[in-house]
Amino acid sequence: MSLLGLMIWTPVAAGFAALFLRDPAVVRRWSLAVSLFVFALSLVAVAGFDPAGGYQWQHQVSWIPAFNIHYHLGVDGLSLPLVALTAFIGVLAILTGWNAATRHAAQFFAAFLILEGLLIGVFCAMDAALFYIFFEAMLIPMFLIIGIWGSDNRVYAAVKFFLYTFLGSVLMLVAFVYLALQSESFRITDWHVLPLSSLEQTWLFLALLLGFAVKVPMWPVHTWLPDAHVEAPAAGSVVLAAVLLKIGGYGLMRFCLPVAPDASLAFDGLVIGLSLIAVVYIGFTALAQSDMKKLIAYSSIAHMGFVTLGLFILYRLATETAMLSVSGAIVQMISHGLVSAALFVCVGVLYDRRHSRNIQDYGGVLETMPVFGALFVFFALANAGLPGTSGFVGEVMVILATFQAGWWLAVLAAMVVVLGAAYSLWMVRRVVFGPAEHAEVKAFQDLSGREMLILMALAVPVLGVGLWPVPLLDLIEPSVVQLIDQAQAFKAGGAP
Amino acid sequence: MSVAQEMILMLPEIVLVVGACFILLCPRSLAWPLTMLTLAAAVGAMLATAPDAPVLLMSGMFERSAEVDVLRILICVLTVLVLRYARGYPVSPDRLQSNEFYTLATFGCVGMFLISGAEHLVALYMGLEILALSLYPMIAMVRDDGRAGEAALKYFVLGALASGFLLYGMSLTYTVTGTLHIGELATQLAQLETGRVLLLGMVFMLAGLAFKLGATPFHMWLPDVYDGSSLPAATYLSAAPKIAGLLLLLRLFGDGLMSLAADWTTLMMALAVLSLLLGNLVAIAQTRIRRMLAYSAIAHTGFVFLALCAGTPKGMGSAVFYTLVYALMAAGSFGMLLLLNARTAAEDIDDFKGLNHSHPWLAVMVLILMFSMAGVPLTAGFYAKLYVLQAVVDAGLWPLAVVAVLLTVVGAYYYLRIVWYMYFEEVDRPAEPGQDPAHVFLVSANALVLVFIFAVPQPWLEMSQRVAGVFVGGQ
Repeated sequence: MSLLGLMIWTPVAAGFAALFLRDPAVVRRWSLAVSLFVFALSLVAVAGFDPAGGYQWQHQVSWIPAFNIHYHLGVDGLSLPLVALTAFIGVLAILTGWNAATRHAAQFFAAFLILEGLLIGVFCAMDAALFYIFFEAMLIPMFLIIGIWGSDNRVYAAVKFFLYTFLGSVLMLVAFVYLALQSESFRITDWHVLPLSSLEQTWLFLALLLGFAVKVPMWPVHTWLPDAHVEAPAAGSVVLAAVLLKIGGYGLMRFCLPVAPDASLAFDGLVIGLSLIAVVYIGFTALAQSDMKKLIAYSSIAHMGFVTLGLFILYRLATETAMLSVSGAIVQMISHGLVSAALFVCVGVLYDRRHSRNIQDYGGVLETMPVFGALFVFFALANAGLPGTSGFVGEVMVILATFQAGWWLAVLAAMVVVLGAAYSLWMVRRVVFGPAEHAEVKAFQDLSGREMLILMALAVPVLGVGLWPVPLLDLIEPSVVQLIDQAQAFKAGGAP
Repeated sequence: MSVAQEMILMLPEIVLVVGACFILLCPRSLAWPLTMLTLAAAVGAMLATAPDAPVLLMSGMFERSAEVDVLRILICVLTVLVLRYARGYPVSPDRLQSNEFYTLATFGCVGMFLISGAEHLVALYMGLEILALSLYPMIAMVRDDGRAGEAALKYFVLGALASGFLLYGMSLTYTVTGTLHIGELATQLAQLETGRVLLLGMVFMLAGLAFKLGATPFHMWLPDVYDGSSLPAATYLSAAPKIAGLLLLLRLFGDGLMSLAADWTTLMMALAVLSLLLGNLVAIAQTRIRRMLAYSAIAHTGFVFLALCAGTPKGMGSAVFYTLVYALMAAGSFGMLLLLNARTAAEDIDDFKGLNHSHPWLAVMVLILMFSMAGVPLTAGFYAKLYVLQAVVDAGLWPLAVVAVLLTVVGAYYYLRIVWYMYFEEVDRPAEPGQDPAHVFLVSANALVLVFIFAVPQPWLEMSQRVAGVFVGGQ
């Protein structure tokens, strides 16, 4: 089995095996060991990756000749960072949920392992049918995670999450079927060079956009996210924010832009508009939240709006600047994955102590939890794009690029920084600083070793990417160049 | 071909009929083993006498082909499965595990066998009636249950009406073409101009079949029959006869009336969309499992009609695959329902609540069955949907595909509801499923086969395509 196959199927198989383990302590160690193993494999994949070499670690076998579906895995510069991110977050999610599952512990960790394997599969699939299978199968463990171990309104949130995503994905399936019939292949790289008329592209683009926009999520199909985030257990929110949302951005890069470049050009105004609404309107919505998880959820939507902006602004830029904006969008995805995960862990830490997500129930946490307070403030600043953190790199790249497309676009885009600073810092001020008024807060214990480990592990890459982003940028550069070429290789002219 | 040779090729049917007669007369304790033996012998006879190429028998009344034999074997397997599931049912075991019940079940198989081989409209009708006449008493068998009687009467009256429609349509076709032989019908129609009488005949036949299959707007009997009849009878009704029904459609429309495809596909589109719409929407409102499964059956029938709308060999192939997967899912779901009812009555959707807490293994099996019904990957239901969509989009009917997938999202809701009841809800007194290990094993195998087909779909897909090939432009 190939390396990527191992990374996908080890956690899935280990997850099913975990269902048969009775002792929660054993299950936890088993899951942690498996996720660490997968993370180690992802480091091997990164170490052996040549940025200029196109798709690597490929593995291809014919699977269903009747549909011309291949079991075809491979990673390029766009997917590899996300694979590594998934494997990294996989470990942290297990640690975050270490004590969370008071019932059905085996199922809890099994669900996370299976979810991790399927998520890695989404990023590794080079066959669209395989991509779709992972894309949709992953709903099952996530649905169960939200529904079984979530808080009060979990059923509503889980069903909404499932149906929303399912709605987007079935239309995507019709688009995939159409593309497969036109190209007589499910291979994604074949679709990139498939000539399509602009009418075809328009419909395909809209179907694909809907599928991925739900996932990103873009305004106005974002409403499932605050519910899902709020109700999910902390570990579920971590995976949801850090990895699941990235599938949307990844899908736009992998499918929308290269498969339907003419339509992407035609509709770039729409996507940019929706992205700016997400940045500005959702930014203000975040400001009004009193529930910390909801606040971070809205912040996620705003930040992901920035990603979609960075991707689709490329049609209004010269190639050099387009490089900057697309790379910035990818860096922003990685950064948001780390930072939002860290923020959800922070909220989880507080929730474990106070059983409340309300900002007003806290205040003066710094008095009793100085270490935690410092880390929370650090991640909140990273969320606001403080220079030196990963958040800054992506944001500044996209904003700089956007200036070329129009100063007013850049000003609106820069609102993400302004508003991000506003809601992140305001939340931190109300939670961490000030006098400790609640008796419960006065009795808080500072971070346990496990919590400290998780947050430190997240702080390292946040600082690393923030201070020295060059390795990451080098890794993605050739693939970004290729993506921009494909996104501008208009093909409607040559189509029948 | 000599009479002896023909008899040999008809051996599976002969075995079943002889076996069915013996089952009726044998001591009660032997009825069950004899039924299994008969069905096994029929499968054995089929394997032993399989022809290399399709052959016509009995002056062209029947056709025997190795491809369709595969589906007949599946019919036997499903029948064995549902009869075994039914053995755990505690209510009226004196009737539902009696010689009569098993005889009727075996005669039902005879009917399905005849349908699958019929090359002549009369033979087709005969097979259909043998099946239907086995089902009516099966449903009515629990005499002291008023609802069962009502269900049987409803089914009988509407079934008779549908048969009337079908016969009327057949006779109208006969007046135009002068033949009842399906192969000749196809050749004649290819040369004839489509006239009003012919179209009228076609419409009547389609309406009759839509009645029998339970496609909207001819579905009204189906929920009442599913819900009113005894659980074993409903289980029998839900699985194998669906395959026979599809073969009937393929024989009649895919083969005999293929040259009218432009006309019947339009009608089927309406049937498909209406069935999907009504089945999926009304299923949401149900509180009883069997009614929900009935509306789900209507929606799945809609999907099969959707596949046939494509009017292409690919569409027929996808319909075969879809029906095959659906029959497995339905058998599994009813098997699970019978298991839940083995000790206490558990007929409401609420009875699934807390199943994960008390029986995690069974909950996983139900989860597989439900996600397969919803067409989510890692189960065979996904390919069933994908295959149909591919056929439909290939035929240029992509707006229809969009409507269908949007309605499957609606449908996903009620399947999800079962999953969430099992996993997210906890109750003080969860249902107490039976503990018969053989039953648990069979129903688990039934569910896991769906995952297996997902992993290794190629042979099943090829088989479906070959089956469709026998019908489309067969003779």
